[in-house]
Amino acid sequence: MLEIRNLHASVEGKPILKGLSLNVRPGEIHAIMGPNGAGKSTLAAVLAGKEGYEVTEGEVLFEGQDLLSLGPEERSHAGVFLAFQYPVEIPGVSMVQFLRAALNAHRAAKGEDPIDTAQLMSLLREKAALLKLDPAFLTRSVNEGFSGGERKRAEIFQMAVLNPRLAILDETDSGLDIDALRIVAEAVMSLHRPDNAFLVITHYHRILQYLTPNFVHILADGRIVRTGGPELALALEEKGYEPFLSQVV
Amino acid sequence: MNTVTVTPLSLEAGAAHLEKLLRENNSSLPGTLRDKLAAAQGPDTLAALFPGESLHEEWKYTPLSILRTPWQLGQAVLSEEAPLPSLPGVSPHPIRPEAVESSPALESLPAPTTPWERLILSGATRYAAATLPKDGFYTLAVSQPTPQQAAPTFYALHVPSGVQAEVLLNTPTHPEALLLLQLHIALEAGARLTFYHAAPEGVQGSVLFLFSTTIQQEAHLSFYSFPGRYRWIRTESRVLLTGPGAEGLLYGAHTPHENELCDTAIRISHLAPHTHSNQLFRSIAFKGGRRVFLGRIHVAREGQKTNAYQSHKAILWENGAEVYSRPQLEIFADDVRCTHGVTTGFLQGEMLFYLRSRGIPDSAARALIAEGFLMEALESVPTEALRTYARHNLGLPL
Repeated sequence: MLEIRNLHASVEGKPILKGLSLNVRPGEIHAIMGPNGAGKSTLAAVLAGKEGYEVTEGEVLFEGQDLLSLGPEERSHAGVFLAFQYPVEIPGVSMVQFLRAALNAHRAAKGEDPIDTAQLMSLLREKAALLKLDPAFLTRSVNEGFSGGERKRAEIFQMAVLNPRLAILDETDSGLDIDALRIVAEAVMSLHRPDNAFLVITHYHRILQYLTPNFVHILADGRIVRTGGPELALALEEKGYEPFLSQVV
Repeated sequence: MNTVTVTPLSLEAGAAHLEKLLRENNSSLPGTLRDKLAAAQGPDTLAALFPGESLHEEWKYTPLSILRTPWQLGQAVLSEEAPLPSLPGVSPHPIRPEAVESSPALESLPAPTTPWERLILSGATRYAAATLPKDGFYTLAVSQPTPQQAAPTFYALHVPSGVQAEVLLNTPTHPEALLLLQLHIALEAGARLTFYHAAPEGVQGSVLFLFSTTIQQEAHLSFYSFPGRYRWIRTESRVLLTGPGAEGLLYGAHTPHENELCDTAIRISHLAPHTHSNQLFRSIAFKGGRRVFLGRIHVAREGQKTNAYQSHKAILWENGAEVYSRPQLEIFADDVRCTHGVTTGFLQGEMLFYLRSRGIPDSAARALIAEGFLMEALESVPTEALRTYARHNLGLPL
């Protein structure tokens, strides 16, 4: 589904990703862990198509298509979704307006008619319930006045509505209390299917207790330096990064 | 096809020409207004507004180049003859002009203090007045459809005690015309008025709109300004809260584009205790457009327990846009709550990326951001049809 080959990327001329390679197949969950500044969020931004990130070498194929040649909206239409670490506020635009525009853009890309209002509201209410969000939340402006936890839940709510093939969760667990973490993680797992995949960027083992990744990768200095199973995340929690990084030549 | 030849003049010569036209017309000035004018204090000529020798602070950012045109004196078209927007679910009543002499609104007309007020008051080609007799939705159209004409017009509205009304003012103006409109609204104790200022689609000409209102005890005014697009528009509002419990709320959403100026100058005076005001404005200036916002809160010594708020947020949508914001507080009472805030910034790339990452194309994402930002100022519009009309009338080219 996703093939990242020898990816190099810079921000303002400073190299951040330095030869990152990764394969993600349908049905898999990959966790990316790593110390601060390793390039985790840069990887997420490059995959989603954020401006200001220059790919200097390598390629990214998504279902055989050159992902890097697509604009952010085209990547979304193709099935890529980024749950932001710091979602921005969009004043005056309600969640309903926002998701109607997003869904209709997806439908237009597939040559389908716009969604009707009753169908839209039914879908939004169903997905809001999944995240245990008050329906009144749908009338609020996007992320405006949301607590940190609400913002993260709103990201997964959007993921549930848009139903992507590949979801990149950029530190979705940060800022969540224990109960909110469980709600978010269970919602994410309920969305997991054999034909989609998740790339979970995190600092902590706790979310992986719910998500059970197939692979855990350690990202350091812009590339993956070690790959293992769920036990690697546990080992990181116990020992920290140092023992693993010192083995890297 | 009509061809109009415009002879360039200096600002001074253009102003002198306009001033002469207005002064020569003053023979029709009604007696009660003549008394108001005679009692007025203030500068006598438009020269007081000019840059250079005597730059007027209130006009510092507003070019007076509209005066270069050698205007002919013309008459505005009032109310029923002008086109109205379609408002589903609303049954509008056109306001019919009456003789101004008989209007109770004139009793509260504040004395003119600026050259423009003095000149329009003394030189208007139409004087009209009306009373809103009962609750309802009213429309008031003042249009200037003739090119090369300046139409100075004076209008007074009286809202009696207990009446709850909505008024939609429409000011269609030919792209080569100048409408000089002075409107005074008197709200008696307990009256409630929701007032909208809008225009038809398309770029209109030049409008100087001098608005004044007196709001008596427990009376309420909500004023929504979404006038669409004008080559040049300045709205000067003087809001006088004269009775305890009076409330004046002003909202606006504005979008000047290339070679367009949109200027709002507000002075809200709290002249009695327990009064409340709010100024909530959102603006987007596009390339080559200029937005000016001067908002003043004045609390007199008698205005104890005043609550007054002001917020103007503006986005410089692209390079070459201009925004000038100046909040002012003038407080002479010691037990009040007054806040003000202005912000001006560029469109945030983070917002655009966020929406695009959800599949929304760039142009639609920009439109969503712009509309959401502007509609913050208009979300309290009480009538659904007007909210829809406002949304379509924002003048967004996206």
